[in-house]
Amino acid sequence: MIRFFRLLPYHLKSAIQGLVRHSATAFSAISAVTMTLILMALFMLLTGNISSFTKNIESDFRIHASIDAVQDEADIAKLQQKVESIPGVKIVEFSNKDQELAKLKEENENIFGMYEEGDANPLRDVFIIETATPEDIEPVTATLNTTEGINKAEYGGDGVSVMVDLFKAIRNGGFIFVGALSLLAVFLISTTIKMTIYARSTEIGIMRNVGATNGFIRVPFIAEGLVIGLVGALLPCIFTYFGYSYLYQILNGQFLSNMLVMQEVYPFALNICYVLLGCGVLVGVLGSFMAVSKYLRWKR
Amino acid sequence: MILLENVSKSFKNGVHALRDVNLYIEEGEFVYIIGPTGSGKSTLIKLLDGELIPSSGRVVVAGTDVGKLRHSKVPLYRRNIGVVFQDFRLLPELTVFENIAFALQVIGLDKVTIRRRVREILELVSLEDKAKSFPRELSGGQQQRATIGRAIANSPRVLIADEPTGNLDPEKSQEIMDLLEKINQEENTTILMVTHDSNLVDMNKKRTIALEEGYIVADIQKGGYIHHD
Ligand SMILES: Nc1ncnc2c1ncn2[C@@H]1O[C@H](COP(=O)(O)OP(=O)(O)OP(=O)(O)O)[C@@H](O)[C@H]1O
Ligand SMILES: [Mg+2]
Repeated sequence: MIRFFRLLPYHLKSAIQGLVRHSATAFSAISAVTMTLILMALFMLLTGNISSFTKNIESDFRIHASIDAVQDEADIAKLQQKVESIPGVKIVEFSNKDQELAKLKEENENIFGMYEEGDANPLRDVFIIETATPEDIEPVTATLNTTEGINKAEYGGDGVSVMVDLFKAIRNGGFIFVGALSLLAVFLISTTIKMTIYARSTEIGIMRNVGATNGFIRVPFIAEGLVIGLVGALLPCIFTYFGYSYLYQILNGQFLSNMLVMQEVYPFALNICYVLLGCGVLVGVLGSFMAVSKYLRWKR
Repeated sequence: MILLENVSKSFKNGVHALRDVNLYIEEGEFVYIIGPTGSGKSTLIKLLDGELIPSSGRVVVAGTDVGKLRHSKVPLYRRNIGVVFQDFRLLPELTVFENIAFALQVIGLDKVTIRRRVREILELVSLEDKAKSFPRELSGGQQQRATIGRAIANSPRVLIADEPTGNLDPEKSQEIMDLLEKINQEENTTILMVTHDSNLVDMNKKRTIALEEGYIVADIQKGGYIHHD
């Protein structure tokens, strides 16, 4: 380890020399990392927000099931038990028609102000049902509609579930896309490092000849990959942090409606920057490690 | 110092490069290895420096069973032996001093030790005045002296030279020969030299081992080139 640090100047020097010597391929590898990471950043910004959107929507995602009139309290309790036993149902809350009216009045005083509590109340008692997952909403609603004692069950509507599906599709598609891009970046880096290795094959031959260990020979190449990864991550990080801050500011922290609240810049964008740096380093080290290990394997 | 017991080496393509070779070389000896092209001389050297594993038999150098070495231990083993080739293989962008220092850097010696040792070596190979020159500014003989200097920089017990004079004229060849003899005497380094140069062998008589089609066909203590007809 001590030896490693003593030799650090040598390793750093040869890593930078390597980059300078084939600046063209190094540049292409760096651009590949940059492109990959920018797309990865976009993808993470999107999915990070989408998952918070989805959470917001899901919390609004409740089934209102109105209860047939003329039921006494015992019947209602029995009905509640029955609803609770439907698969996918998480929480069932009872709310009588007066409470429902009060809620409406609270939201829109001027329209519902004319209704009085008591016999003039046109509303029904309801169950407010939360499901375990958003996917349960449709089947649970359908079951409720065929349940005796339930007048009508409704939820937020098709639009919401379509949106949730869309979000999911974006997330999965993005994963595959970014994964493929990362592979491409690893490949390009390992090609760059291969060129470096090729350009320095005499040097490597001599090193082996005089007894340098594989670990030692590997270090400058890994360092070069690391530098490529780090430099490649720089632009995407700047883009993420400042781009997102700017977007957050002009959109005022909301996307389209107040139901879609954006993640706050801190720590969200900063965390993404860390992930980008980490990925850059990982891709760089992995690519160079692959190239150099293949080359250094002793064939005897 | 060097012991080969019933060593054979065959390649995947069916070529038997060495067949049942038995050989013992004492510490501090100077030995020529001669033989026609394809007789297995370079293969013998590769067995000694750990580049190849014998198909059968045992290769022991300085107490190490080279064929049984784990791959990760080969680099450390290599530090016991210096190898010089016909093509000089100096790094063109480094000076002579730096080229020799490089061999010591990569095995992790500190700067002060390196500087002192490189000065010593430059004196030994008579290149003190060329320390700051680049390889392209040197003659072939001077370049080969620099590679020999690099090979012995970390004081290996054995120096192996595969046709070190192959690219040089007779006068320069004799210069290299003198240098190798000096290293053999002053540093007590065991030296194995592969050569095709019958004049050199005849003029500097030493133990001579002749290979032919993978067999040792002669091992003459007093030396002299064996001519084929
Ligand atoms: N890696 C290899 N794979 C297959 N055959 C090989 C390999 N290396 C050497 N050989 C064969 O083994 C035989 C001995 O080769 P070697 O290089 O030891 O000869 P040499 O005595 O050094 O010849 P030269 O004087 O031309 O250098 C030759 O027939 C050669 O073709
Ligand atoms: Mg040969």
